[in-house]
Amino acid sequence: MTDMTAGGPAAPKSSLFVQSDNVRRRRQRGAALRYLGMAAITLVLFFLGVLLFSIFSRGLPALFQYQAEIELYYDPAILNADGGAVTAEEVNDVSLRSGFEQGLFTVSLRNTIEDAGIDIEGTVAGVWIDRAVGALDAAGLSGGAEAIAATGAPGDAAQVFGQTGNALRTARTVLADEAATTEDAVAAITAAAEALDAAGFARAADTVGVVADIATEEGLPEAAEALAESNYEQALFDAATALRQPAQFDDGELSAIIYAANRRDVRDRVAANLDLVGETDRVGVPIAISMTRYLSGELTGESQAQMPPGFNESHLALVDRMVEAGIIERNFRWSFFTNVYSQSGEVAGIGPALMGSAYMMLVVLVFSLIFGVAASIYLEEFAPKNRFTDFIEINIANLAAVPSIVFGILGAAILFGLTSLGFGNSIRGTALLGGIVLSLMTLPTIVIATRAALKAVPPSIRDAALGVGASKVQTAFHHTLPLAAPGILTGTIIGIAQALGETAPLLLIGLSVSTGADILSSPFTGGLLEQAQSMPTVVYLFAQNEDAPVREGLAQSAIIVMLLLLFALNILAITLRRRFERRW
Amino acid sequence: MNDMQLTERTVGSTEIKISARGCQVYYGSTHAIKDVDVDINDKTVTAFIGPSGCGKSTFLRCLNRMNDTIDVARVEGDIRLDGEDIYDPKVDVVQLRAKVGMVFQKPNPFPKSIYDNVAYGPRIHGLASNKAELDGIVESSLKRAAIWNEVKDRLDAPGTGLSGGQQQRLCIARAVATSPEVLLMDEPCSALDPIATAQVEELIDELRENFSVVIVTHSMQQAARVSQKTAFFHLGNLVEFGDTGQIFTNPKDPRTESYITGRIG
Ligand SMILES: Nc1ncnc2c1ncn2[C@@H]1O[C@H](COP(=O)(O)OP(=O)(O)OP(=O)(O)O)[C@@H](O)[C@H]1O
Ligand SMILES: [Mg+2]
Repeated sequence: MTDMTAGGPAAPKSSLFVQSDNVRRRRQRGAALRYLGMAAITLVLFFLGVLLFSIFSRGLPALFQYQAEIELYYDPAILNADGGAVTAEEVNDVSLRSGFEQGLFTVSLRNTIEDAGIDIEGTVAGVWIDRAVGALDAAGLSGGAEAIAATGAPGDAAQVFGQTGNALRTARTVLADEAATTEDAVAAITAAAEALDAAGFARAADTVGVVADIATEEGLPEAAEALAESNYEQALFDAATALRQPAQFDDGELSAIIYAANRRDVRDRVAANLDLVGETDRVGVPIAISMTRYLSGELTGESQAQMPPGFNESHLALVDRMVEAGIIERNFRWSFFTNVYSQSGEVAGIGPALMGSAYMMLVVLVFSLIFGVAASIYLEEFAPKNRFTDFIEINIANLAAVPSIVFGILGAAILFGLTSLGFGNSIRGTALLGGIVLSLMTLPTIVIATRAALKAVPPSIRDAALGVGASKVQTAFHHTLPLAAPGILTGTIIGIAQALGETAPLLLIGLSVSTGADILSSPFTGGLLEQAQSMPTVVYLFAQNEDAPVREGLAQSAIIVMLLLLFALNILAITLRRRFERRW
Repeated sequence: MNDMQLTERTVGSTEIKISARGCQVYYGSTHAIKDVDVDINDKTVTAFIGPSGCGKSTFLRCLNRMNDTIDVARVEGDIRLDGEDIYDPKVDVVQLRAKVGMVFQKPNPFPKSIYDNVAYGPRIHGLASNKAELDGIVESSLKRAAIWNEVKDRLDAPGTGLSGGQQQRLCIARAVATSPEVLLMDEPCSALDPIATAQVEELIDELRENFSVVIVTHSMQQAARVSQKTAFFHLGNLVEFGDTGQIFTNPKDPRTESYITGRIG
């Protein structure tokens, strides 16, 4: 200021390089907002990542299925126990469980495995012998393998080890008995040592023999202590228990590995085509679902917690051998997309649910697009602006916020109304009813999006059209609507995507939440009026399943399918949007 | 005002095309046009002048009922086209607007191709029976709007991709394509350079042979150049209406005089 009065060259009032307080504060606020925004986005991305990871890491492996390729032999002896010519009735009378599952599947599985050069008994016995030898070795009973081999069969070895264990137990009891004399004790100990020797454990026999010397020289309590130091007794009993297992491994244990789900199909097939009797067919049979968790590496099988429920090491060993022999293969589970829902994860599928959802989308698209767009055009372009249209507008906005379960109740009310009129049951749980309820739900979304899109069309375009003499309808259909189309499409797709994921209303109007929904027929031949299922309800079912691999695998697989559908819908929306936009 | 060269004052026709009596326009409670009486002659260019916000556009929009599209607007009074009340409930505005075309203050081409912009009116009114005829209408309209040379090679390009001045001429072409009997032009040259302005003025002069043209302008020179009749609006009132020569050389009302000499406005 002084410069200016001095008349010299005027100094700048402020430098561009010095920030004023005002500017600095503004910049700080801007930076804070930017960091806040970045933090928010990071958080969102993090949660999205966690979500997608948990879904894909579980759902993708579940889309692959382990199958045993077995040579299914249609054994005439089972299909027609009394001999003579086989008839369809006879085949249908054969029990599914004892006849088809145990008679055909298990026998064929056994034959397939044995044909592949796998010794089932040997494999199973090997596992338990290893276990027994391990137990013996741990207790210092070396030479267990030879001892078992010397007896011949594992069962015999179990008997010998059991007796030896008993001799040791007797010796221990005698030593603990205060009334026992030294002679009794020495006799019992000697008997135990002899038993050990006879079983093939010479060194252990010597160790026990020393206990007899202690008994005579130092007294019984000292001997008892010395005997307790060796853990032979428990090891022998453990080994005996393990060695008794191979005999337990019967056909039931074998067939537990597979899920003979298609036994019913097989029965129908044989009944329909009796020529099959006596023939052999190559059939892929799913592996039991909890076993797949071992095959996929999810469970290691090394400890009790890592063991697939219902199985033990011998099953795992056998399965390992089957994998080596190429009997078990891992295939993409195409049947998941076509099969019907089932409690059994091995065969459960989302076929009816996919179709049901697709049909409902169709109904939603038709109903809500037609009514939604018509309502919006009317409200936006033709309706007078008065209290009544304001009232409608507010109510549509409110409708968009109504919880979906309320729409379900509305649907149920419609259903009851129709039932009392006499044709409710034909519509209960159908894709048509589901689609109508979802349309009601989607309508407000579409109306709001469409009206916003119509409002966004500059009024000058309407003026231009009206100015050259276009009618209101022509203006709407030639100019406004095409310009609003991208917005309408986006709104519609958002609405449909929302409808696709809706569960609550569907549960209320009886869309199947159990097994029983079948593949639907074409929408033109009444598929819309068949008992339907939907994707979200089937996800719900999977998530409720008692088997962990279904809850934590197939549910995610179904979610992936749903996500892919939504993704496809979005891609469609974007492509259509681009198309329309290029036509400006 | 020396540069104001007045065109020949002979009014093309004394036949009245549009007559307005006691016209009132309200936007809600705003009284935008107050009791205006105007006669617009056939084959004549009538200019509306007046300060901004005085109601020129509003009154112009009454003549083809474009005010109908504004919810709050209410028009009263009697406006007749060839003796027929255009506000009669039996009148279809589509027919009216086919006869009374309009060019808006802000260029508003359709977001379609240049060709479709011009062809739209003839199409919906069924003015062309085949493609060649439609092509002919499009070409002659674009030529009359003095834009043909600039766009003849890109008729398929979007109309919205043109410059502001070109867009305005496209809108003029669109308006003349339907061969209206009356053409309402709301400041058609406000976005044009002097050359294009001259071309549009030439067009207006040409149109006068067949149509009646009403032009709103802020340029006194333009009004003087192209119009035979001039109406001066002020605060919603029609202050003075008469032959252009008389208005510019010998205004009766002091407000008119102060406006054209640049003292109010
Ligand atoms: N849609 C509308 N709603 C409410 N008031 C309006 C509307 N359009 C115009 N008006 C009012 O009517 C009066 C006349 O407006 P109008 O557009 O006719 O003026 P104008 O003479 O054309 O002005 P300009 O030369 O600036 O274009 C103005 O006071 C304006 O505020
Ligand atoms: Mg104006």
